[in-house]
Amino acid sequence: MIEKNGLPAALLTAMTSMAKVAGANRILASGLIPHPVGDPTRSPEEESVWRKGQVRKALNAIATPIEESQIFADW
Amino acid sequence: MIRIAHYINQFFAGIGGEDKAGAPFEVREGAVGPGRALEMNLDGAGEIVQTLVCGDNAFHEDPEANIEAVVAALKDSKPDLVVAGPAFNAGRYGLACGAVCVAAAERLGIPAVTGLFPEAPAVDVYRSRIVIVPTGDSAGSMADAIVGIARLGVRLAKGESLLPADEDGRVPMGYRANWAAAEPVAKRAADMLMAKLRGEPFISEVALPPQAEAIPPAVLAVDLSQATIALVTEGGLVPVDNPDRIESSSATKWARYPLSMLAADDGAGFKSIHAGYDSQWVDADPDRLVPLDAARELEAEGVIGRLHDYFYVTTGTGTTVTNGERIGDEIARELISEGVHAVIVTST
Repeated sequence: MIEKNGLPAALLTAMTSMAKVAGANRILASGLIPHPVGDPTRSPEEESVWRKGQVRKALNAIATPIEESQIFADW
Repeated sequence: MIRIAHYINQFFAGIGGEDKAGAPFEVREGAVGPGRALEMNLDGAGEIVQTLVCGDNAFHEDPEANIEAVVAALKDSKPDLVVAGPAFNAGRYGLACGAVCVAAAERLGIPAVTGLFPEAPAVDVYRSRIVIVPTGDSAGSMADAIVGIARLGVRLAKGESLLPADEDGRVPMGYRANWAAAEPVAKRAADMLMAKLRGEPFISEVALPPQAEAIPPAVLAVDLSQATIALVTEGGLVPVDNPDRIESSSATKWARYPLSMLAADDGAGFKSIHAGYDSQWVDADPDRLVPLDAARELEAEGVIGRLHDYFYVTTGTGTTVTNGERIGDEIARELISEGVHAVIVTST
C-alpha cells in the first residue's frame, strides 16, 4: 500500500515468496524470520557491518526503476 | 418426465419492460418465453407445467406476500424442479429468483436452480443457500445459460447430489465437502509436485485466495542522496508498556515512535509484542528489526538525505488483508504529508 501511494518501499524479509504473494514490489531476502536484519551468529561488529550492507541493498532497490514486482538478487 | 415450475419476470413473460414492472404475480400453464427454450433443451425428458410471473417492482413491493403466492402455486403443481430466470446481471429480477429458489428448496424441499452473472447482487446474497449456474451479464448469453441450467436441473430433479462446483457448472457455495480420494494425500501431493516440476498441468485441491492486485512500482522522486527515508516494520516493536495497545496478533492498530527514543534505549525500553515469532533476538537488539544503527551511518555518509524522525510499527500476524491495507494506507499518507520519499520495511 505504501508503493500504491507513490513511495518506493523495499521489503527486507526471510519470507520472500510470501512477500511476493502479498504483492510487495521491491523484495530482498534478508536474515531469518525472527530477525530480518540481524545475524546473532556473528560478532556484534560483524553483524553491524552485515546489517549496513543489507540496508544499502534495500536503498539500491528503492533507487532502481522497475517494471513489476521482483525479488532482488542478493548482489 | 420431470415436472418443472419456472419463475420469470414481466419482461421475459412478454408483458413489457420497465413500464410494466408493476405487473402483479400470476400463474400461467405451460412454458412461456425462455421456458420454451429450456423445454426444448430437455429433449423430452421434462416439461414445464407451470410458469410463475411477477413484475420486478411488484415482487419487491411485497416480497413476503409474493413468496407466499409462489409457495402456494408450487404446492399446487408439486413440481420435481423449480427453475428461476436466468436473470443474468439484473438486480431486482436476480434477487427475486434467489428468493424463489430459497422458498422452493428450504420450505418445500424441491430442488431449485437459477442462472446469474457471477457479479450480480443476488449472488452475494444467496450463493451459500441456492444453486446458481453462472451466466453472462445479459440475455445475449441465454442459449448457454439454458444449457447449463437444463443439465444441472435434470440431475437435481433426479435426486442426484451436488458434485464439486466446477464439475456441476455452478457458482461455488462456499463450503467444502468430504470425498474419498483414490490415492492418499502424500501420493497426490508428490504427483502434483512432479507435474509442476515437469511443467505439466495439474489442479490444486485447495483454491488459493485471490492474488494481491499488482501495484505499479513507485519511482523515487529525488536522488537517493537527497531522499528522506522512513523505517517501517510489522514486527511489533513497541515501548515495553505498549502505550498504544497494539495487538499482538490480528492487529487493527499501528503507531510511530521517535527514533531518538529507540537510539537511547539501553536494551530494556523496547520489546516486540508480536505473537507470531520468537522475539528474543530482537528484544536483545532492536536493530535486528529496525535497522537504526545502519541507517544512521548511511545518513552520516550522505548515501541518503536524511532519516525520518520516527519509525512506524504494527503487528503482521493474523492481520486481515483489509486491516493490513488500511494500516499501510494510513502510514503511507502520513509519511507523504511529512515529506518522506521512500521506505525500508522489515518483515518477520
